[in-house]
Amino acid sequence: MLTGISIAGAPVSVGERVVYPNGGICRVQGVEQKLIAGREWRMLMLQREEDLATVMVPQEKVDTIGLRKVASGDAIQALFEFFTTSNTDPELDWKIRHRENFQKMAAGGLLDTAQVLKGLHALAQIRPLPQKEREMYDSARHQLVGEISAALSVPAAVAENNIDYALTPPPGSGRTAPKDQPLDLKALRRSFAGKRASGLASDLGLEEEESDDGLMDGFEDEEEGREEGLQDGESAAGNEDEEEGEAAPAKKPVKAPKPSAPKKPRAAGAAKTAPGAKPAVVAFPPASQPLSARPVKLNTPGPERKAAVEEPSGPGARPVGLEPPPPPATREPKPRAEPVPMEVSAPAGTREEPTRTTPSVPSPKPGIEARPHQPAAAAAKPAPAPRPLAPPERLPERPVPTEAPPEHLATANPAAAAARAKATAPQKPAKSAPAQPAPPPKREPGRRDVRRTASPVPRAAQPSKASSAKRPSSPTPLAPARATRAAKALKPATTTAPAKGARTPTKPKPTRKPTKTLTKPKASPKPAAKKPKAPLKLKASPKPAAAKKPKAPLKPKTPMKPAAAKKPKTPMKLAAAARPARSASKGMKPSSKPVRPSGKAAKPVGRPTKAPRPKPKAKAKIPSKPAARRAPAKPSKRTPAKSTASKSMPRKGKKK
Amino acid sequence: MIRVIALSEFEQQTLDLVLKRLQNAYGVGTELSRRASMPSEAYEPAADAYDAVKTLAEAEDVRTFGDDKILFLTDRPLALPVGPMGPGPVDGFADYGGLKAVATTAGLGEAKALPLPDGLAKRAARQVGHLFGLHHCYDARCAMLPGWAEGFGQYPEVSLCPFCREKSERRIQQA
Repeated sequence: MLTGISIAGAPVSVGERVVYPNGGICRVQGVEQKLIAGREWRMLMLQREEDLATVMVPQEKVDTIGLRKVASGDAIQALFEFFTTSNTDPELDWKIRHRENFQKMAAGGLLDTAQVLKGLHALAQIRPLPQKEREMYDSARHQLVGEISAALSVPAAVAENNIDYALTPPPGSGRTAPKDQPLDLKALRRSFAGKRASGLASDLGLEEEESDDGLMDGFEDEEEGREEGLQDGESAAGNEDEEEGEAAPAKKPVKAPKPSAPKKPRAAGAAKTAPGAKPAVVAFPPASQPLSARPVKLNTPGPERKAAVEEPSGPGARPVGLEPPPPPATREPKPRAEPVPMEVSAPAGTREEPTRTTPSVPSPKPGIEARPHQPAAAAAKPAPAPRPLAPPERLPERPVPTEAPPEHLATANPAAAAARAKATAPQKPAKSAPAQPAPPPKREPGRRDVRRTASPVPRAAQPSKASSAKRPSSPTPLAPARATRAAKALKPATTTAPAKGARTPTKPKPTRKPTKTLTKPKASPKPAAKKPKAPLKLKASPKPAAAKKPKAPLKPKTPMKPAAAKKPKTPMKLAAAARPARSASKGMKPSSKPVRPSGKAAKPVGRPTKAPRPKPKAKAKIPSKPAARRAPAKPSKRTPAKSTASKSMPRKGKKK
Repeated sequence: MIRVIALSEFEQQTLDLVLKRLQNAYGVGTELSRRASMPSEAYEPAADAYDAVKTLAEAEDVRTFGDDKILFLTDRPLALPVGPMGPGPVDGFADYGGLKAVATTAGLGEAKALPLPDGLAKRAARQVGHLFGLHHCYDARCAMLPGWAEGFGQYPEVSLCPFCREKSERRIQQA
């Protein structure tokens, strides 16, 4: 019973077996009309044999999705013959391999699936497959087993055994496993290195064609970037080289019309390009044209570019049909002094390096502007190979490179020199922008001085000071990442330049020394000599000093005496004495234990070193108002400090 | 549950070893259900072997639950329909994704690489793997390696590679 639907021109009948790509063997159930999304669809109803799942395929999509009938016996025979042949094309780049395999599996062809299985099987003999490829290998095997068993009407086990008889022949069968062609790794590396160096545009074109499959989103972005323009493509190519690693050939260093060394034949898949052919590089417009005009040919659709790539044949052959494109219309009205050498040199691709530098030469005529992007592109290019077609008589005409403008012109014609200076002025920063940190270093020493003089005051500001020292001295507000980068870039200049000129005015060492002396006593147990320093320290910190100003005469009595009586004064004690004041002044919450709602809590805290006990006495002696006011407040604030101090102190005082 | 039916005379130690290794490999229970004899209908005098497909169809099985698998063990040679690559070694047969499988020890002595219990356990594990939907694996340590592959005799232990293990566990959970 015919369904009225045909697959590849052959009518499909109910009960017939068809192969759904990546799905398996299905049996045709019939045709149904379905109302989906308000539209009538004529559906081909299929049932998958593996799990009896129902598949509905719109009639319009039957051909496009790759639905096909089960292969015939002859096709199966050819399939096994293919299995027994040697492997020829191991793709080493996993991304390309995965993409190709995915496309083959999606296409659903018998031979495509067999290629996937065979290629991955050969690869699995070298090393274990990654998970994705292992799954694909299993899927390909599953598809083939199902189709072979359906085509030959044999059990699936027999089909799989036969596949493995072909791939790994049993010892007594007299056959040998399909031999893999020995991989010449050296040759592969050489070819990859050659590609990286020359930046073959044929790879470019091929990859651009492959970017539509939607397999790897991350790479699609790169591809899009390339298509947007040539300049973007340069950076993308650089990124790709980093990602692909060793085995990946450099795909797209398409910077300019490059003289490409004769391409070495690819070890695998040599059919893509003719060995030694000069690929699409030749199709690029000359270097004299602006970069924005170049990618016109790059973005041509794939097949055309492929044809352009494959046209030249033979080692070192020059493409015949590819004429250099005419210069863009925008330049035509300009009376140019040097278009001729550019037209000759660039299309021909590549005679000598100076040809590319010619456009950037500042001409004596002020109307001709130097193009800043070209010297940069030319600087990035490697030395081109000599080109036979360029006329030799043009060579001497080519002027001097841009960096050194002709001096005789500057001396003879001052007006022209001024115009030239105008023309060259924008170029200089573009060329040497990263290598000119001259103005910032001059500012930096002064800034440093300011910082250093201001730094010694607060001790807590030292870390911020250190961080600020790293920041660049440029007054413009920079993002922190940029600032650190700029500081790194400026480091050598700042270290050298101020060292000479600003050593005398700067006072970093004397200012830093006191900070060191302040920090040292903490570690060194020299008690007696630092007695006088201790009050200084307390004064130095603003908050404690303000709190103890009225008590200034009492200080030696109250906090210092008990500590001095029991132990030689250590910096730790001083620090402990200072901490409570800090915490109290900062409004820090006291720890939960010593809240001391009553006098009980104060008692355990009362240790020989504690200052609060004598303090109230002293306050009573001095009837100053601030002291009286602070008297109730102090103990409450100090109690946490006591608790903190008591942590560091032994508990002997308690027992006593 | 994997239910094992011995169609030939095997030592109890051999059967115990097979059961133990099957359980370790797939993580499901195994038991020796019964002992039986090879179905005479499956014998093919021309090949001097038993047709594996007929053996599965004709052999006496046991009552099982839905997710049970039946494994027949025999020491007789088996034969399979000849495919495009001609006749080849047959060490068992399984109904892919089905219920029954058969494994044989025939040909194990020729390899001289694995002792009979180990070889039988490995073959049995592969046929049971087919019942769970596993295909042949290229990993020499995997139990799904074809019996005629080079690495089969090198590793007597019955274990699955990570991919096959994961896949089998998935299938077992789905069952």
